[in-house]
Order: sequence, then C-alpha cells, then structure tokens
Amino acid sequence: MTTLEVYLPEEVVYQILSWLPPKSLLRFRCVCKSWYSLISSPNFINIHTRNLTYITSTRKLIRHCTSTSRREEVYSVFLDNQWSFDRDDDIKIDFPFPSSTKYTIVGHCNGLICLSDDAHDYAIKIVLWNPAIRRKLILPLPNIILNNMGYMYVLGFGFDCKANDYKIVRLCYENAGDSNKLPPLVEVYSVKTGAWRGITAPAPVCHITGYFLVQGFVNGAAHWVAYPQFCGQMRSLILSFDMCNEVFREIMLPKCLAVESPWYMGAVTIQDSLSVVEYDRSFSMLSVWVMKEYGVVESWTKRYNIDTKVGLGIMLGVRRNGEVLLTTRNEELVEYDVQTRGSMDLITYAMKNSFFVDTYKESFALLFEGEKTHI
Amino acid sequence: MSKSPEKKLVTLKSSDKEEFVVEESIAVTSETIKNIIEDCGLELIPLPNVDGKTLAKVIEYCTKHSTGSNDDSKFDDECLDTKQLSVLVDMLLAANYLNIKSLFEKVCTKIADRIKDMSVEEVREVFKIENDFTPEEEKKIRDEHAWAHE
Repeated sequence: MTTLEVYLPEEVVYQILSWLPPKSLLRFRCVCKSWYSLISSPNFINIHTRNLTYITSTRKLIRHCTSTSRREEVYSVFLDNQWSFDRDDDIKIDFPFPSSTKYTIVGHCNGLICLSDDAHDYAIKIVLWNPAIRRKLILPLPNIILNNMGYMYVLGFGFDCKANDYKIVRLCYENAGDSNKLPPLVEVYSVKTGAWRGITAPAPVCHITGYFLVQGFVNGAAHWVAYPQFCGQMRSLILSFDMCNEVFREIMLPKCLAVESPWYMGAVTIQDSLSVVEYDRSFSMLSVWVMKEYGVVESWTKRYNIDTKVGLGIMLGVRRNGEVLLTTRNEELVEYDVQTRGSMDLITYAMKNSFFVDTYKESFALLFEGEKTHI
Repeated sequence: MSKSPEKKLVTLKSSDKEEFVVEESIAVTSETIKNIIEDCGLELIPLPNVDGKTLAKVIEYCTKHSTGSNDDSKFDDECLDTKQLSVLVDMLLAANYLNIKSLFEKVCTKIADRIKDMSVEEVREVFKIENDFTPEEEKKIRDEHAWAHE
C-alpha cells in the first residue's frame, strides 16, 4: 500500500467519501476525528443520498419466503451483469423482525424497505428497515384506526428529496356495499418528524384497485392503478401522490388500457420509468407499458407482451439487459428472454406471492432516526 | 484569411513546461481555462498546478467528451484505468483545479471504488492521516458498528 505523495484538500476528500458505500463509511469513522464528524454530519448524509441517483446500480434485491418449519424471510442480492445473474455471496442480509407476522413489502427506496403486516386489509403495523446499515424503525400506530371490518387500507412509500425525508402515505377507504366510499381518509408519516398527520391538499376521488395493491415510486411520487367513481364507462388511470408537495394527481393511461378493468393491472417502476403491468383475465398473457416521458400521455409505449400460458405468473422486474424476471405457477423465480422465449430458474421452493424484486441500493436511511437491528 | 471561432487554438503549458496545442472549444470544458481566456484573452495559458502527464490525459478526456456523445462510459473506463491510485489522485486534483465537474465526479467514484474495501489502517497509511483518537475512543466507535469492520 503506497502512501500518496500529494496532500488532498479537505473538500476533495469530502467529495470522494460521498461516493462510498455506507459500510465502508461506518468503518472509516475510526480513521480520525475530522473524518468521524464529517461522516456523522446530516449535511454529508444528504449529499450521499443525493449521489445515489447518479450511481447506476448493478445489483438486484430479491426477497422471498420459504416455509420449512415456519415462515422465513430470505433476502438475496444478485449481481446484474450483461451475461450473468448470480448471487452476490458477499452480502448477507438477515431479516430482523419476528417471523410470526406475515409481511407485505410496500416499497423499497434508496435501500430502505417498507413492510406492512398484510397491506391489503389492516396496514396498521408498519416497519422500515435499512439492511445496509442494519437499522430499523417501527412506526407508531396510525391516527386513522377504524373498525377493521369494512375498511380497506392502501399504503404508498417514497422519498421527499426537498426535505430529505422518507414518507409513507396511508389511504383508508370505508366499505359501502359493492364499492368503497369516496373520498378516502388520508394521513402521512414522515421519518424526520416521527409522527402521523393529515394533509392539507384534498383527498383523491378515486378507488385504488384491490388485486395488485402494488405501488411504483418514481419521479418523487408513489403511483397506483385507480379508477374514479364508476358511471357506466370504465376509466382506469394512474393515481399519484407527490411526496414533496403532498398532493394527489391523476395520470391518464393510453386509451386501450384505460377501458380495461383496473383489477388486472398494477403500477410499477421499471428502469426508472413509470410502468403498468396488465394481465388478461385468464392470466394467459401479460403486457407491460412504459411511460417513456413522465407525464406525457402520448409516450406510453408497449414494451413487452408475454405469453404466460407456458406456466409463467407474475411480473417482478426487468434486468439491466432487458430480460424479465417473473414468477412461475409453481412459485419459482425465473428470468425470461423475450426474444428467445427461453427461461431459466433462479430461485425455487418459495411461498405463494412472496417474491419481491427491486434494484439494490445502499444508503444511510434511518442512521439518525432508527435503532440497531441487533443482528 | 481568419480562422472561424471554433477552430481557434490555444496552448496549455504544464508545470513541467510541456506545451499542448488544443482547440479553444475543447479547452473551455475547463471552467478555469474558460475564465482565464475570457478575462485575459491569453493564447498561451500556464497551468502550474498540473504536470504534463496528467494534462495529456485531461485533454484526452475533454476531446472525447466535446463530441457530446453520451455513450462514452467505456472510453472513461479505459482512460481512467490505471493501477496506481496516485495517478487517479493527480487527475482528481487536476480536474478540481481546472474545474471540470464531470471528470471530477467520475474520478471521485473511481477512487471511492478503489478504497472502499480498505481497512482503517490502510486508509490512514494511504492518505497519510494521523490517528488522533485514544485507544478507548477508537474502540467505542468501532463497537458501534462492529460488523462493518469484519
């Protein structure tokens, strides 16, 4: 190890450090006092978080559950290269919450995972977890806790880049016969304030679909497939919640999707673009539409059309080389080449509906607010 | 016959007196050089903080990037591919002095990649940093995130 001959000014060292992964930085806090205070400062953490948007991630985070003697959460990181997709054995992630609870992953942003106990129905117990720095945060109970029977809750998770704050939005729909009442009750939790509160903007007058309560976080907003009050003609659309300004907006879908039933669609993020996955009613076909230019309705483009009769199931994500990651009817994870229509097993023996895939990033989220995971 | 403005040439002189003739449009990728030309109108610009070896690489970078093509990551990997950390650091300091933001950020990430797996002792050795913690203080910090040191 040769010593550098030149002297590096402090502001240059600061810049180099702001591109390092969190594990290295936590280790380098020991180097000397000035590095310790630098790495611990909120300003530095903000710059580090901002740099994440410029780092092209070459890895994917994959979660699934196994059930040997009891339900176990398994998190693996895969190296996403052009010609290979292999597990990164250097990264070992241990799930720090009790396994007795059945968790749904609400979202994943800057390496921070948001989980809820069954987001479809109750969504009261919500936790945040940053595996890269081994910190977690159990959220306080939301303010809107109503009679569990007859209410449906929807969650959205994302990052407010102006306030450098992670937020969770929760919508509570009261059941009223065939459909739910509009508008829903809305509240937001922010990690920095550590509390739930209402929003000043009006609540949306849309229903969010029940089957795929997935959300896609992109461009600073959480997105769901939704539809306004039904009045004869179905009009599916995308509902978004802007995390910075805390307002709801609607984004139109292309005509051929808008007339389709929203129950078979889900809003997801694919390679940093807002996308919609649509399944046909018999689940024999799936198509993926990508909004190439955010907010420009004319830019919706059909990117994939996949025949799933061959035993394929749910779309999970897209590899950097364009191959699609899907589940199969046997609850395996496969990668699928759209050109050759060939697929390859990646993970087998998972529990039903337990797969989650996203681009892997490592950040300092929860460094100041969370607690250690004791693992 | 006057040259059209885009073809105007300037000479950059390194700290070890090496001279490089470069198109002005490429040279002004450096904000520092841009300001010198605008303020003083010089055609021979002395750069006492950059040696010839490093300046040659910087000019190579600026030339490749002036075409405006976005697909130059492969080139960057080759241009910045060096076994010696000191060469990268020289480029970083040059990019800092010459105020070339994109090059500065790229070299930063390369250096970060090079040092990310180093131990605390190795980092101190490379950057000539003196440990001003007492053994007790250092142990306390280490224990806060013991797993990061494995």
